[in-house]
Amino acid sequence: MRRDDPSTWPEVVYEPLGKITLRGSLAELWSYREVAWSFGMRKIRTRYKQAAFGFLWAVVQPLAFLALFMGFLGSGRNGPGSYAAGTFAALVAWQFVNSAIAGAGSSLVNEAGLLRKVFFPRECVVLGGVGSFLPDLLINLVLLIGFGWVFDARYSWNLLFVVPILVMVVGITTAFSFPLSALAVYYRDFLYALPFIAQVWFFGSPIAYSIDRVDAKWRGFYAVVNPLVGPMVALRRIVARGAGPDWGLLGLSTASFLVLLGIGYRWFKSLEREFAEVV
Amino acid sequence: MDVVAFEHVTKQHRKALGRTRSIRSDLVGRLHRSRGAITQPVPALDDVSFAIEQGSAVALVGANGAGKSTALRLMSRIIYPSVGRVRMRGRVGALLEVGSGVHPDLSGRENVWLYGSIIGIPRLEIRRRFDEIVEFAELSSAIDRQAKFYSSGMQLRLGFAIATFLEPQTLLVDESLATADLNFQLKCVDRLAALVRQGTTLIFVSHEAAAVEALCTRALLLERGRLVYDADTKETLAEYRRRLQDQRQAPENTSAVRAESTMRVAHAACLDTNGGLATKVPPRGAIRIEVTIELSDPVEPVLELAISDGHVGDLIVCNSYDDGLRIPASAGSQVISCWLDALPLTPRSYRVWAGLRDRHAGRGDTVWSEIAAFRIAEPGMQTEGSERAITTGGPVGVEHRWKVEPG
Repeated sequence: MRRDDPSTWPEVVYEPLGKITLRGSLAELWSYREVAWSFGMRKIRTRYKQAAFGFLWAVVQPLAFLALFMGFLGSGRNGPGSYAAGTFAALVAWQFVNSAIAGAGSSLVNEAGLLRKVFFPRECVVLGGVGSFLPDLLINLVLLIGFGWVFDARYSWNLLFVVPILVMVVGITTAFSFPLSALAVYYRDFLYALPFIAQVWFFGSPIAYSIDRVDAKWRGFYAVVNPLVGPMVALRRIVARGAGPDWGLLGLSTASFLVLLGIGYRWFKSLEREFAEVV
Repeated sequence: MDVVAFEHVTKQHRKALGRTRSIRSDLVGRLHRSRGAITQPVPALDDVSFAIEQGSAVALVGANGAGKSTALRLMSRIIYPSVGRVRMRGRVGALLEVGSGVHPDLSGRENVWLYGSIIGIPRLEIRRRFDEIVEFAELSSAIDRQAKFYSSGMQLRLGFAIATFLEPQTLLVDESLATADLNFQLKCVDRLAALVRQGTTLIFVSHEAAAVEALCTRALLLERGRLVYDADTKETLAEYRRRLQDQRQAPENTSAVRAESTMRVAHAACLDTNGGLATKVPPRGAIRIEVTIELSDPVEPVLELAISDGHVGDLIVCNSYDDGLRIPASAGSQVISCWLDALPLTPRSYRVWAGLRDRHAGRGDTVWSEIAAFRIAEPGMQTEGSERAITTGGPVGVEHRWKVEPG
């Protein structure tokens, strides 16, 4: 390898109160993108290495939940269109949120060994953790489109919106994963609270029920407090009724999600320097 | 051009500040903190400043807890300074613990790729060096096995091979060679020396004085977080030994205070057959250890002399009392000599220790101090530079014969 002039090597300065800029953080993340990729690939590999059913798990869960809801809540009573198709669409999105939050939440703690020994932008671990559930989501998406007719799903051009909406769901999951994974570094008992938080979130989102259950004047507030509301409502409308997204709710949720992502990421970056000492 | 610069760096570990791991105890702790005073523990590094030139090989020496590893972790950006500034230039690779950077769930092959990408090596470069890495790590048969099934030696070899073959511009090596077998230690030292010759900056932490001497031209001595000495390797190591000796003589508890106040080693030397200082002794050579002791009270002392090779435990112990020598219980100084003939030691460095106690005190009251060091020379290798740093085989050599016959 060539030994060039060391004065041309980039100098890095570490200071206790060194400025954290969004631009700098993102530039660094970009230069370490292969690390995030490696973490994600590795998670996928290790997850299915010793699993009997492999990818089937991802498919079985939303279907099982759907069967449960159909049994308990009955069909067609929760708003216009096919309850089964709408609920299945929402469940597919939720399946991703649920598993990715759990996986990413514990991801930093699970990589404690590496965190203590090697430097890399810590969000690589979280992004890899969230990203490792993308294949599951993709399979479910194929299932949703390919077998939606079984649930009486409406096929229309609006179906094209499903992809950007799922991208937004992935973004929301990431936005929540940053603070959750960081909290787990500081407080291990937080990991036990995660499933509970997920459960509350599940019932707090229009997944098993339709947004029509919520009083119209509260819906906007609802979509801001829980950014999953916008995409979930949109998914239901598209798949169950063939209608377009509810742009008002989707817009509110998008704004809320972007603010959350910004705050969460910033907070993560400011705590990041301590991870190796605390984890 | 400096590639590493510490500017008044102080590091207070977060954990040392009493950070807890459960929400409840943290809340309770916060309440207490707001009421009571915070006691500041000793920082891991305390106002340390130094700079390291590109291409140099520098050792960090010091006792456990002196802050050596903290310094390396700061350099590799795993932790941040509490006060001050760390400046680093170029690509830094680190081998901080056994198998540092080796992930247990991944195969050896995947580890090479992951670690390479972590320290910022382009994929092309990794592909180019892949076979060399596997060969150096002696893992060709196990490269597709998960690293958790590797022995600690295998993990170390893999970690070392990745860290050094992917050619960082600055390489940090921490105390990790100790777990490797001697053969691989030799290989590692050779490899590190080759990297330094090619212009890699090496920062090396090791308790293996021989390896430090063989690799590094400069050494920094850390003591309880402070940089106390910065000079040539030999000078710093000598200073380190001196300080260790002072510490051993320093009173630690009441019985030691008593022993200290009544008797001490005033002067000691390890001499060769001509009466000169024995720094290098031929194999099966003889030495004379001369110890001047001072007694302030008329108590009968027992002198023990011990030789160690730097590892735990002594190889040779000579006890004046057990050998039937009675040292007069008279206040003042006396010179005691002990002749050791035909030392059955193999070529490497040895340390000489002297222990003193009151004959009526228990064995545990012996106060030990390191008094000298010498080296058994390798036959036929007399020049300084060509010494091998680490010798394979045990420290004790005896004449032996072999025979094979059909059973």
